[in-house]
Amino acid sequence: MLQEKLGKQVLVFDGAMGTQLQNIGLQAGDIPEEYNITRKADMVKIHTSYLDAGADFITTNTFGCSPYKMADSSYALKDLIQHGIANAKVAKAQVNREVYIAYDMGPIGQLLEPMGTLSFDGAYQQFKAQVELAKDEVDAFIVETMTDIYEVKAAILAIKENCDLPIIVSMTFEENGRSLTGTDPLTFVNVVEGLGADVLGVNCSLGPKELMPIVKEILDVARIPMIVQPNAGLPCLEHGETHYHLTSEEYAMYAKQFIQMGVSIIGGCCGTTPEFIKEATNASQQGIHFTPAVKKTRVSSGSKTVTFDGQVVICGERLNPTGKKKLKQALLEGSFEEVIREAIRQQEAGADVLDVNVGVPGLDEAKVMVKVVKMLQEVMNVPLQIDSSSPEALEQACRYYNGRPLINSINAKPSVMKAILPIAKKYGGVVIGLTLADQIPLLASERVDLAKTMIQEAKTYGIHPKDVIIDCLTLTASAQQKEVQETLEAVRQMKALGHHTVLGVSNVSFGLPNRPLLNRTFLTMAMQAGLDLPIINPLDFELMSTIDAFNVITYQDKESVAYIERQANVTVEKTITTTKGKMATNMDALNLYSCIMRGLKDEVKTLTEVELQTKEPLDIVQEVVIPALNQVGEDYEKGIIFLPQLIQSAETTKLAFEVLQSKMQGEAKSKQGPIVMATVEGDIHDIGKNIVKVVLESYGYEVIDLGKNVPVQTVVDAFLQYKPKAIGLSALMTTTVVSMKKTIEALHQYDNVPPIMVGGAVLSQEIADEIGADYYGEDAMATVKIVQEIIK
Amino acid sequence: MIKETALKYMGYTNQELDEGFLELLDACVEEVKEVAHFKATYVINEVEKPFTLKKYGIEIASQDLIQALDTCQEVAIVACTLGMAIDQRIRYYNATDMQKAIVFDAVASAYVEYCCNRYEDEVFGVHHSYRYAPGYGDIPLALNQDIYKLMNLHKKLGLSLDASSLFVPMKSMTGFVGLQMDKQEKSCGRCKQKPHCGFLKRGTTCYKKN
Repeated sequence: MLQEKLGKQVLVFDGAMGTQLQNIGLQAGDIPEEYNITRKADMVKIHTSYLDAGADFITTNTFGCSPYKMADSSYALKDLIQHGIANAKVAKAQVNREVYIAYDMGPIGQLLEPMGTLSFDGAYQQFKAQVELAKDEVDAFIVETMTDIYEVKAAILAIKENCDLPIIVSMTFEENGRSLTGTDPLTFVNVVEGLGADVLGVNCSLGPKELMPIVKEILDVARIPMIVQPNAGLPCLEHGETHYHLTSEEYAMYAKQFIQMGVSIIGGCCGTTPEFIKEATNASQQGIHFTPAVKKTRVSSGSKTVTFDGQVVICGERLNPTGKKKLKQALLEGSFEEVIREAIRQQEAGADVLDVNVGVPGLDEAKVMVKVVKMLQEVMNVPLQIDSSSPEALEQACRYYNGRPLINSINAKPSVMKAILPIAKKYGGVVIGLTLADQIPLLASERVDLAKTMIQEAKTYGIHPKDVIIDCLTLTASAQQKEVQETLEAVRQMKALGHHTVLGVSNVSFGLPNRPLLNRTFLTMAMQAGLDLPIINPLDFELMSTIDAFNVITYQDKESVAYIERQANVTVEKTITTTKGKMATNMDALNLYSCIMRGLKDEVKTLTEVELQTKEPLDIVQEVVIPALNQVGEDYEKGIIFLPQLIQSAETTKLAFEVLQSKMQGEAKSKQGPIVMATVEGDIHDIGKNIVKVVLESYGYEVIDLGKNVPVQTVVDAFLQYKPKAIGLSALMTTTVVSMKKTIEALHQYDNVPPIMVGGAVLSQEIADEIGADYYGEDAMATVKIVQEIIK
Repeated sequence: MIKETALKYMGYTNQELDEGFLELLDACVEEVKEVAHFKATYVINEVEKPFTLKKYGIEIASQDLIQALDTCQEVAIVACTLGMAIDQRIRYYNATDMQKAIVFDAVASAYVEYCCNRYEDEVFGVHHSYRYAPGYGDIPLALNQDIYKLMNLHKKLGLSLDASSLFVPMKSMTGFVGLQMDKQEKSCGRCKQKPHCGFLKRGTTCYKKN
């Protein structure tokens, strides 16, 4: 059985397929997979040559067999795949030893969201189609030359959900040690192990020498066997042709070294030949050196991994609508921009992971959670902690999350564990276990017992104890003062047992004055007791500073590097305050009007406050803000200022509006609009739409931004849900103007559709008329005028 | 040079620039250089007149290309990219600071041109034509579809191409470079964008005038 050999003995994979195909005549632009049908005998020969060289695995010639890529072929996908497998089988039947056929799955050839337009589900289908056709005929799947960890996730799920065959996953790294989409080796290992792959490794792009540091990095952390398939050296471009210069003898030396380092499977990629594989076979004779790395708790985004390694890991708590009116409102209105900003503020303040909770009554939690998770991972790289009591929301969020998430949470109730632990297992989630069942036990020992129950139960699902982080539950000092100590004691006991702990710190201070003081003190004590993951407000500088200080005193922050970096700024900040003081005097000469004209974002809030001392908010809008904006618009049209300056003024005005709006009452408070805006399906170029949005917002309009690559139905749904006063669509190219037209047609199936404005590089008034739009907005200022006409 | 080109892409026509903006521009240039991971590749084709790439056997119906590369025997197709991290950064600034997003985006566009020029000089020496990219003049943008497949750019550079023939990562491009020949002045002659070209409206061009 193959499974039993993995990691127990060194196995040998075959070498390059492409290089062999070129040798028998493959030309640039030919579809290599068609050779499965047109050159069957040659294909069998290639497989045989690798088996003769000693390979234990041959790889089917199906690297490009995604339905997307094979749409170019005149042959059916099914035939390309089945003939590819059949050729390998013929070769296999000719040898008298146990060898395996690995079905080769390469990248789809289309980038996933948010980089490209392919959805995660779409990617899943591209892989599933192949799995269905191959699973009964092969011994394993190899997913290789992958550059995007999100695509890897889709592939693994597509295999795992449709068969039980072993999965080998191999990623390609650049010389800078990252994949093309920014994944580092540690993150790759953590995510792929979490998803339950059987073997992981690297191939292509570099030669063995250049791969060496990456291989080492992976072996240091991997707990499953590793495969290495290097190129025959770095590709060299000579007069426009790629050549590989490594000899099989040199390769042999590296192959031995890889095996000694702990690599379990060795093969070759571009430029390698049966000669190389013969050397790999020789090298494999020395026996296996693989030992799984020590298990550590790690969570990842697609490009960053946080390891629980003694240092306190800070979890930002602010993406949680409980008790936050503004966030609740933002989620209900679908204005996710505020949610994203709140997340970015926390990341910039030093949060290592972010809790995400979107539980608002009346919201489809699973749907909104997925939307928010996707939006967050589009712009930031801290790992996320998915926080919900709904198993459905957790499952959905884990599925579409790019990385290995924290899951908040389970408790010791059997029904809860039964619902959520399988999700954690399937997606590799590190799960938070609340030490409560029907109620919160008062004593530390009782909480520790519940923790043990959860860890034990998780084990039965195959979840490692390190992947359960225990929440010893912070009680409120104003209500249960005596029990606060019990929490700390429970943390101490869990630590002694070798488990990680988490606490929602600020619970301790509810109902008491000067809450920050209690929070800081409790946090310090909890960290001293062994707390790993405090869930806190990272925007509370004093609280964050407490952690900095703690890390110095406990010798975690060696030579106080982080402390000095952050706390030295405190002194600097004081100087800034003084400079700002000076600025304030200068600001006497400055007024809100000129501030907007000049786009002085740092000063605008103060100047708006100054205006508010003598004027009503609405008067300021009418007498200062709008005239200033009009002047800015006029200057832009005359060429006195150019685009970045227009946007600077617009963003400055938005800040003024924020201050003014907080002072407005009742109806005056509500913005004009809303206006729904979207970059249409198939188009990921949204900078133009974003520019128009900022300018519209600077005029006080509420914009609901649906983002880019927006399906027709999403625009229709937004029309029905928000009843906008206008809809703005943008498209960059003629091809996506087609989507624009479809969107307009779909909207016009309904009554009372508001005016539709369109814009984008290739649009013109004629095209706008042709596709049934009501207005053509040539640029941001023109769009403002249109909206002013629509919403009088 | 990078800054000059970037300003042009932003629609700059000699407006007064304050210190804050110049600092932002400098910061973006530094950041783009730091984040970019320039990769390039090329193939060489003999040219048969009017304009057929011999190796690939494709004929390109472009008067501009015929005219510009009339005197050369060999043409290189160059493809390059600044990599995905630039796109990620652009997305980040689109969400956090629109002004910076615009400046960063323009600087990145200028930087990929700069890097590609440098690459061509390194590989082909200085005696070669300008780069003529699909989308320029009457060279069809859809030609990127063929180039993408023939040069295997997905594997070589990690590029992906959408239905509009635009690349991801966004700061990627291809172009034809005539070898062993002098540079000829570019012109707006057959450009399809002419009727609604922002550069022309502002009295400039998208390419550099000698």
